[in-house]
Amino acid sequence: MGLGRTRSVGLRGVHGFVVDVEAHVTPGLPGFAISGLGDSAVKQSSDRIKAAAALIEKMPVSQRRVTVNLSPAGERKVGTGFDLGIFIAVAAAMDLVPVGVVRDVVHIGEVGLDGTVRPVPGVLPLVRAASLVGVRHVVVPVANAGEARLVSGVRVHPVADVTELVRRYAALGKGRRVEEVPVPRVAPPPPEPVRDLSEVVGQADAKLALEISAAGGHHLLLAGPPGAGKTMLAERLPGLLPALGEAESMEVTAIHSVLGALGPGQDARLITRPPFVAPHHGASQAAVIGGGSGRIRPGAITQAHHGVLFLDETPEFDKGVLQALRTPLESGAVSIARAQETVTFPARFQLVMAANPCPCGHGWGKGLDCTCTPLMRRAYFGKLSGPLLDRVDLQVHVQPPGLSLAGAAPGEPTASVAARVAAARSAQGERWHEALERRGGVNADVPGSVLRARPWRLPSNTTTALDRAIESGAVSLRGYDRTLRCAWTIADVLGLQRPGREQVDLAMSLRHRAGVAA
Amino acid sequence: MDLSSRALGDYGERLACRYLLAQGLTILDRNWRCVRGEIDVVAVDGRELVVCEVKTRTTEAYGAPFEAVTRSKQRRLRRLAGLWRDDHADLARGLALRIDVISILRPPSGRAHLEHLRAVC
Repeated sequence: MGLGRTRSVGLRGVHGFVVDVEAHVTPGLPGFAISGLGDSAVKQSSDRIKAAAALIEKMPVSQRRVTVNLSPAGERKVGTGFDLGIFIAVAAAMDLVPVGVVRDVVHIGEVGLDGTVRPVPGVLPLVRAASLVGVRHVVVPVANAGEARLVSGVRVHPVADVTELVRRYAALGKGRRVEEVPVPRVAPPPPEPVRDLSEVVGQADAKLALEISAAGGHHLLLAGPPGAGKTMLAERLPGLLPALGEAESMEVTAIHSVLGALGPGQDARLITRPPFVAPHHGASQAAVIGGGSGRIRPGAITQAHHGVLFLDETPEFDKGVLQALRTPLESGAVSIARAQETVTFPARFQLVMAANPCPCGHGWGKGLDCTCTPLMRRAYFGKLSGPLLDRVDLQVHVQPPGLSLAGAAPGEPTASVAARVAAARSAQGERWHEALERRGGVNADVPGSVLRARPWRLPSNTTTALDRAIESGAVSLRGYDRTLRCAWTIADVLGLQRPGREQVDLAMSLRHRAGVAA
Repeated sequence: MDLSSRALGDYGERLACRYLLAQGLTILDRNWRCVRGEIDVVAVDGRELVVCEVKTRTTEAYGAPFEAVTRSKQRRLRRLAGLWRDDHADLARGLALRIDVISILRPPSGRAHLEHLRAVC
């Protein structure tokens, strides 16, 4: 009887923090108190542990006075992942497992009434946090073992059942060798259906915009009538983007782990392709930006970190949701502030918006079939308006393909476009290395002041048309910078050293085709 | 309450009193009742006034006897102890209050097993 101690990890945003779990067990009137700012899931862990402990001889938890403390006690603790740590700390206090062995081991997992150890979300960031503070051994549920093993520098011990874990610890205390619990092999997930760019017929302008968008990291607006292929085009953007780097993969996989979005079989490998997230236009602000009651969950913009956020039917989204996108677009992160705590989620995503030209969808070309009043049309796009649209470098109109194109030869495949994108991206990475003070920067990240100053300033005979547009007030200074960025990307795609007059003119036209100025 | 459990409770309380006497305590009162409830045993241990709850069981199938003393029962015991002291101011003068619980497990055959917890709440 006495004091038992072990460790566990709590989740805050998409990062973990190591928690010391202390248990004090004395004879006395039975009771089970858990202190340390746990939510109701943590408080109820006492009931689960009592039932599971009843399966073990010499562990009469329900007849003892048990006090558990989760330290740092001032930090909020959420979820059922502390069950296993509390269970082992109590077992240590009752001398069922060797105190010295379990003290420095991290335990993560939910305990069932029958003693099974169940998986919990967010194991990847939890184990990573443990590894960062120098923990050597972590015990995780069997179902989370694959995910935990993605973290280097720690030994992962899968566990299926608490009785078996206590037995193994006891054997270890007596100096016996203990076999690892085998992890059942899970079949790898079926490969994503390949969405190839060659399936898109015609749409040369839109495809060009898509390629430029992928190459320079530019946000994109596709406007066009229903059936023109806006969604089809947007879905092919991730295929054009380069695979994620190692650090990016880890970040993206950790976010998906917290969201519980790693499918079966996916949990043992990192996500290496840029994610594509397409929330429905009815999505709430909490779903898109992050938040929610109780635990603060990452939203769609964080799920799309290092990938593509696609808003289909953008004007149908709630105005508040669209406005809330502005700051993350600028800073690449979103802070959710509560009275008690503030959580910051990463949200560096590429935004692709799709919209009909007007509420009825027929207001394209001459607009003869359109039944909308001018007021309706204005209100429809007014929702996107100023500040948000100001951050979108490419705004193109997608025309419906004509009948003659239906039988046309397939276009260029994704693979060859992706190769050009990769080449363009590496050129940018080298060029902006100094200006951005980080690797892998793309044209979209470069500040306008850099583009307008030496050595990157373009000669005035190249920017004649653009200069004229800014003088006449047709283009704002911000628009001027965005046009320059696009021109640079077009040059990169073409393999040019610098954009010339043609590239600048093309960049200007790609900004105005949508005709959304109304 | 049926007769046998009443009898079992009386048996447990007699056993508890004998035990407390053997420990050198002086029994002041037994089965004291008021509108708020009942105190099983009141005794004096040196400078302490001991209010004692006795729990008797024949089997642990429904949990150990101690488990029956829940939070709300502890609260009630504290309140009753105060009431007894108010009622017997002359006897309780100068004594510190202590609440004990005695658990008695009496299997159908074999010896009864007594456990005594001091100063529980």
